[in-house]
Amino acid sequence: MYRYIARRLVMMVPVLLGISIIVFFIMELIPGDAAQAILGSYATPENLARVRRELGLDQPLVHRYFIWLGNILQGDLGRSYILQRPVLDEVLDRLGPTMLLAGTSLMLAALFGMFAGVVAAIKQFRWQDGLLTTVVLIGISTPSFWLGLMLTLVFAVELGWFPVSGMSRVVGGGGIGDILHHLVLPSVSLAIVATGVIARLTRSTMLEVLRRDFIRSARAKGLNERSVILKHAYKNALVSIIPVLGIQTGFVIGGAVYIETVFQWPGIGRMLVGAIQQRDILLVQGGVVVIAALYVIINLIVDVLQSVVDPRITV
Amino acid sequence: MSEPVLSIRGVRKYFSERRRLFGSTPPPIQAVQNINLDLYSGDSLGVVGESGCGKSTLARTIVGIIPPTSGEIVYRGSDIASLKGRERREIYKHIQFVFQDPTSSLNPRKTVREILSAPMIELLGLDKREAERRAQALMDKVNMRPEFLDRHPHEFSGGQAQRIGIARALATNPEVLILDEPVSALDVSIQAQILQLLKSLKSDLGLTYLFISHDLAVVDNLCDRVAVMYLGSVMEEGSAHRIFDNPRHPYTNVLLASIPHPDQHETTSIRLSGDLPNPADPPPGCPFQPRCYRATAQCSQSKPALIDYGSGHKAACFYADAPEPPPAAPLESQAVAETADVSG
Amino acid sequence: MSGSVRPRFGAGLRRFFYNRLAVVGLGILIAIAAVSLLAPILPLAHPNITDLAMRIMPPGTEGHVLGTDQLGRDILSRLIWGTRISLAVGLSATAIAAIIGSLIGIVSAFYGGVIDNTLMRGIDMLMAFPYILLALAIVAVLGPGLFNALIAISVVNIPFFARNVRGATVSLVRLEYIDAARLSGKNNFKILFGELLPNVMPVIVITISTTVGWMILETAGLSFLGLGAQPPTPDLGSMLGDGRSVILTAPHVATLPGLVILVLVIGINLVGDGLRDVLDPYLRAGALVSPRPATEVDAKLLARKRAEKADDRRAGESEDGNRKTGAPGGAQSDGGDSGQPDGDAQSDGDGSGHSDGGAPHISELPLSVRNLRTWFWQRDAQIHAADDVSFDLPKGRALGIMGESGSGKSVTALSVLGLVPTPPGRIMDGSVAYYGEELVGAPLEKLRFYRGNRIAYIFQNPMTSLNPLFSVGEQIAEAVRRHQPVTGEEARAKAGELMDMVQIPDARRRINDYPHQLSGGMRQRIGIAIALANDPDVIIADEPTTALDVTIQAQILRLLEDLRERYGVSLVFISHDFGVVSAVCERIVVMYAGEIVESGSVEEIYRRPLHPYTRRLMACVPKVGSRGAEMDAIPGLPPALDRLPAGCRFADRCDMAIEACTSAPVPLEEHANGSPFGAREVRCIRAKEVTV
Ligand SMILES: Nc1ncnc2c1ncn2[C@@H]1O[C@H](COP(=O)(O)OP(=O)(O)O)[C@@H](O)[C@H]1O
Ligand code: SF4
Ligand code: SF4
Ligand SMILES: [Mg+2]
Repeated sequence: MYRYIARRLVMMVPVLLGISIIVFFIMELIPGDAAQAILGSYATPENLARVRRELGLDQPLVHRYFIWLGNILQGDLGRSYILQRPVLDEVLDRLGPTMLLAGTSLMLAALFGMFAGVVAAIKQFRWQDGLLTTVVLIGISTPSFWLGLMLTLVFAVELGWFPVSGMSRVVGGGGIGDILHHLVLPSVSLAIVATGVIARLTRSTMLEVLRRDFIRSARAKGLNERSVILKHAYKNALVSIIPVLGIQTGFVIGGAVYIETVFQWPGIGRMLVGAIQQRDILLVQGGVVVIAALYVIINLIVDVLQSVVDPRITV
Repeated sequence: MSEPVLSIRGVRKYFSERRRLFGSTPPPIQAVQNINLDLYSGDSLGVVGESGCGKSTLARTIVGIIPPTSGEIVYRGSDIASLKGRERREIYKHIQFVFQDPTSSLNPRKTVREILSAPMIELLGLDKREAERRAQALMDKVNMRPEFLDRHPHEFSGGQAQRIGIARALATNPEVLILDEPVSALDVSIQAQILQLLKSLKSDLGLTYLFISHDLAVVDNLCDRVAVMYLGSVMEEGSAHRIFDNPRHPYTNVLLASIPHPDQHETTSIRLSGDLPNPADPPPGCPFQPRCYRATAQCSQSKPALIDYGSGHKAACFYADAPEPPPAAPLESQAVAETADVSG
Repeated sequence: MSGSVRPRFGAGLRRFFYNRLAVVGLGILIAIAAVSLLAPILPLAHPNITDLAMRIMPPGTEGHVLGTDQLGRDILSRLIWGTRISLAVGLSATAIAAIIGSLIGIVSAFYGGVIDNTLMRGIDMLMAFPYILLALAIVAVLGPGLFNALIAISVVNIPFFARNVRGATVSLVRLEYIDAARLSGKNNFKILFGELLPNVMPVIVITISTTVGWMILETAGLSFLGLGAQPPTPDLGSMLGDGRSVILTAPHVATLPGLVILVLVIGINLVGDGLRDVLDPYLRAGALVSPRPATEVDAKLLARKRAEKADDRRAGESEDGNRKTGAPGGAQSDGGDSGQPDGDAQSDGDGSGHSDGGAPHISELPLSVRNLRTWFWQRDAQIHAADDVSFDLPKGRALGIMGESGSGKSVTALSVLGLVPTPPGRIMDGSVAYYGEELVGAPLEKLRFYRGNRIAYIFQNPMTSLNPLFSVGEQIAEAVRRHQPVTGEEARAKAGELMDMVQIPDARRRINDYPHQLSGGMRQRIGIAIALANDPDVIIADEPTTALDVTIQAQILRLLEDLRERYGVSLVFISHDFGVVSAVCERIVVMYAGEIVESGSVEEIYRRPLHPYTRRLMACVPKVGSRGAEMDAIPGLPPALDRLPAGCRFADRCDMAIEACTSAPVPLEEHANGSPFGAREVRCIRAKEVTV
């Protein structure tokens, strides 16, 4: 177990390096460079040259990559020229709200998705199955940002149950209750697609597992359906579901970009969209690097979870 | 005897697993260890052994589906073990293969016609029309109706699919057929049909067989010579007659004694204890030593060589020259139905 | 080219159209595609003409059926043109991702080694970014715009194709037909594109059907953020984005494009599901129908049984008033029940006392099967898997069921405690009795009480019959706890004892092992330990040694023999191998095409088989020592069980067949008595002609 975790930790290093290379070189492809970006299009050549030298842009590419990497490792992601503050500070400020939103959505999706999937599987061909399958189909076909707007329209504007937006800081004045109040609509909108995907997968995996030989063995022991389904079948289904939970985490984090925009949620997603529109390259770069690193850690957790469930995964 | 058609000389096949972070390279799986076998023209040599003993690996190595780790495979005087590309294809004209699983060895998306004409087009350079014409004759050879040429593999039963697999192997008129458990997936009554077919093909076409099986009775029925494998090595080799009636190796004894038979309700006293050792970590000395009922201290110190005890009967056991009586009396008079007679 | 491809394709098409939802989806897609293709010739306002005088008109406005947006542009026209663009972008992105991704996947799987490693590490890198984030980063580099969004969406979807296609190809590359193609002289190129690609195609199509919907959603998403389509290009996503600013005053501006996306993607997903059902071999085989807890019993039979039971009860009250079983009725919960049915005949102890000739009363038999008929009901066929099967098993005896695959052995065995999968299985007729207690049509609770308790099973494949995620000790203990009032500790101790009993060396350590850590023989010993957990009266072993090597088979057979002698358990032993059955059993029934064709003692059947099938089957089993003997193989194949002949099922392969054989069903008739626990029976009208 610990060996496994240690091995996965070591294996993270090349992945993180790979991510850094991809990010660095993608940003290199941008026409114009950081100096240009910092000084704007009316910069004098002398100024450009000076800033380039200061930023080390006159060095060869590989050299610059290592300087850049060194800076990142020291926590220096550069300065946002729009916000005029260190990228790292900005990203860290916005990480919390994004994690809160994505985490809540993911939990909702996992819980409801697996529950709906199991119910649909054991009530196959009955009305429960039909209903859930239909709802799920609509769920996975819905544009989440549109759903966000519609939910706002109905529950915030018409009914007034929830705020339209206005979550400005996680630790705002209102405390937990206020946060939750602000969280309901965005997290539901964000969770809907993932819930659908997880529910469909759970249903089909459960149905497939329930046909395996060991289910027949469990029934031949005289076990009741509860243990057959919840103990024997469900645990085996988890082996297929857990990796998808990992992938869905990625979708949810990515999808947060839309939802944060719709609900003006002060997270990284909205920051990124703004930064892209204003060509604040260092801010984009910083945001992407931090989220990618976070995602690598999440994948590690998923892998460890998987090895807990499935004894066949060995060191 | 004359020169062998096919000679397997010192063939080894090790499968190594990929190295892992933290920890040393896992030891390679020694699937086949230093095997020497000769196949003469018109021979049918049976290779028997239990699952995991390396029989299929050996078969695949011979036709070049997988390359051997070391050793030579000599066909008509030249080593073919490392041939590639065109030269390898040249060999496929002469040495062909019949697979164990008749359904997974036929592409589900192809018609029988396509499957049978492929070797003739690719290897013999026939044009499509000619190849398809000859495909009809092939179907005839394996007793299948030519109308079946337009069908897909899933439309056939296991026995029929195996006939198609045999027809495919025969398409280029090969000299040698390597048959890897060709009847193991089949029911008894179908197995008998295929064994009959193999026998008549052999005599009609003058084929040479290397026949792999885990079933001693099937091998005894079809083959003149037998090699018994255990844990990647040949334990005993010789004529079927000698091997099955007067086995010299304890493992052969055990195999024979393990076959349940209606005449002996009591299963014999010689039973094998324990399981097959890990082929990545074979026991020291004789490979059979941890499970052998005759093992002595010597057996775990050095590995007995495969020694000829006369008339080509070879065995790899320190005590092979002092054989005990076979535990299962040779079962000669057992044609079952002979007691029953049909009148009218 | 060939005639047989078409029926198969046709069958797929029919299956697709059988799925009503898929047809609805197809209808939606065709309608949307038609309208957007026809956009240029439809009488629509130009989508980009602004008319500030007509800003934000509600739906139904003169000249603007769906109203106008904040620049006075006609929403209907923009919707149609926008759908056109969204579809075009979504489909092109899918095509790009599918082609590049599939190529990477198939090449990677086929060549393996360094190529595989390099390509897959690259794919891993792409997948290390949360999906949309990578698309954003790409757009950030290339700059906003529809074409750039298309590229971004394609790139982020490449990994899905590469992974799926690689996964599918890896399992195909190992199949023997790839080796066969190589042996047929095909080169790598021909194997890749001639042999592999056609077989991977379904996977590619399935992946397309799942990703096309995402891609349309994601394209819309980027446009919504203002990073995709740029004004004034109408695109569903950007229309939604535009509408957002007037959501409070004119909700229809944002609502309508969202609805169109929703309907479009629902259509795509419905069609995708339909395609998947048709293409996925797994689903095609009906894999996604899970069996019920117990086999269905035909309604008519059930009604009859209920009626009989009521009669019995009335009769029974007068005769033998206080005979009862401990088995719980249907209404009871199974949480706390344990112990054995009290007052049963078994404790009276004379079960094995009667002589071979005298027929014991059914209430003295641990297992009695009468006229069992189990069929599989498929959409277009009824498979008569077991027809009119009867046998008795006295206490402490061993009965063998022998037959070739598909003869109905397993179905018979599983019918005993309702373990035949429903759908499609259904018990049509007959009875199964445990000491006279009827099991066919018994309530689920009662079946569960007997399962693993009084009647236990050992299955063929010890790898798949054990749950891979629980330790073997736990799986044994679970069987103990289900039927005995013990604590977890005690159950574990019992599991250890049972493992000792089935001679697993070092049981104390092995108890925590998982099935994959044990060899095949050891796993089957675990299977036997589970069967023994509750001291059952009957063990039904369905080909318990077929998956094992001969030497291990010999060990297991010996073990079963020992255990049977020691505990006096009755055994039903199923095998296709006469030798194996004869090693364990006293009496044998031979099955062919769902029926018993012959029964008698091992000795009798071995020495003097009466049925032509048995005789010829035994003649074509090769034996050691029968060197080179000609084997008189039985020609032809067993009949299809859904198209059985009216008369003898063996007739078309039988060398003794006469006309009378095919005209009417042949009954199983008593040939002689005096066989161990049952008569010598045979189902052949010419059996009497066989003389010694
Ligand atoms: N789940 C199922 N659906 C449809 N047919 C089945 C199913 N299970 C078994 N059958 C059919 O029932 C027949 C008898 O099967 P089985 O009892 O398993 O034979 P045996 O055990 O003798 O090999 C076979 O034709 C088989 O195809
Ligand atoms: S050498 Fe020793 S261990 Fe090996 S087979 Fe002979 S007696 Fe047994
Ligand atoms: S009834 Fe007729 S066809 Fe059937 S086995 Fe007997 S002789 Fe043959
Ligand atoms: Mg079976």
